[in-house]
Amino acid sequence: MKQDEKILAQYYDGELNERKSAEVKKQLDSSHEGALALENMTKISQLFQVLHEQSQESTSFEGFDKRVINAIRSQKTPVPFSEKLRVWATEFFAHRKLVWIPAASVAGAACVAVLAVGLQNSKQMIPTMPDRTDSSTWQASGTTDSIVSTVAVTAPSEMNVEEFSLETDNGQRIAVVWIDE
Amino acid sequence: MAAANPKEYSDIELVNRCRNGDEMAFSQLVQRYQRKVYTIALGMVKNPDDAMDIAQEGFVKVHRYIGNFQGSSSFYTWLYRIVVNLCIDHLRKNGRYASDEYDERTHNREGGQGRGVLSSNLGNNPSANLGRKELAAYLQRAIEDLPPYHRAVILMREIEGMSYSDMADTLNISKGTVMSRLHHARQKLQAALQLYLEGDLSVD
Repeated sequence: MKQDEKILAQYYDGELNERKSAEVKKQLDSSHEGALALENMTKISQLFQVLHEQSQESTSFEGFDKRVINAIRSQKTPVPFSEKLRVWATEFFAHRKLVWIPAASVAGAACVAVLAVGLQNSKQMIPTMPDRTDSSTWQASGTTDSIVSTVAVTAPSEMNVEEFSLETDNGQRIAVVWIDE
Repeated sequence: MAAANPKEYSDIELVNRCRNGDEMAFSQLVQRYQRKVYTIALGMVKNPDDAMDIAQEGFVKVHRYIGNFQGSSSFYTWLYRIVVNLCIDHLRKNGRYASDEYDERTHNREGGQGRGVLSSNLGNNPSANLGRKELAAYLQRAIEDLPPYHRAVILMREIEGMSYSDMADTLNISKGTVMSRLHHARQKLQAALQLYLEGDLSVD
């Protein structure tokens, strides 16, 4: 498409700004070819209007909305999830430029990093093996919120096993498996 | 006493009410857009019954997926997109679909030459008088010769008066592609109706 044709079409379709539109209008005063092209577009548009009027005259829409509602009621089967997902994705991608892809990638990477750090920290939160030879009551250290802080050991202090049970302050018994590296 | 006018809700208000199961709101949306949707469908598939079925199917789909409408475009561009896609599916099923690429080759080969459908139908009597309705029927034939995507843009522009931006949004293409398709569509229609455009033909 030539540049002048492109501009003329934009002018005809009202897609140019006021300044550009005035420029084109001025040029058309001295361009027979341009004026003719514009006239042709106008004639075609007029024919479209005739065609449109004809189709509207001969068509009745009485009760069309009820027909649609009835059709909806007759199709009560639920939409499959895959179809819902497909439509959602089509809509989602239709209105977003590709710039969202790197943005989403960065956000995804950030989430992974946060998770990794969190996991690392949670590993560090595991209490260290207390010294079992000193006392029958241990003060656990570095525990997470969900673990009681003070426990009473019922196993003998000299035990040398990796699985034992603890009794909490409120009398609850907890089985503990200790992996001592 | 004058009857009170029912409140005129915006599209998005009606859409939100539909999401909450308001059937009346959906009826209002149908009434608001039924003619426009039908016109686009008729222009695309030609047959009035098929166009009416497609319009109905379009609204049924809209109702079905209204929860997925994200409001990032206007409701009618979403609706038109559904309808245009249904029309293209319909043409494809009926073997009346030609790709744009095929059409470009054909167009280049023919070079937009000749005097178009009018010439081939009027034969040696190009100065015959034609009624506007008859001429519009020739336009309809010329539209049918356009590939579906070209047909869609010219109809949206000429019948609905849609902006390039709305057409791009509806068809999920760039504004440049809209302009290109519109230009080709106009070129082909002008070639088909050359006798009328050159004034060799008087119109009643």
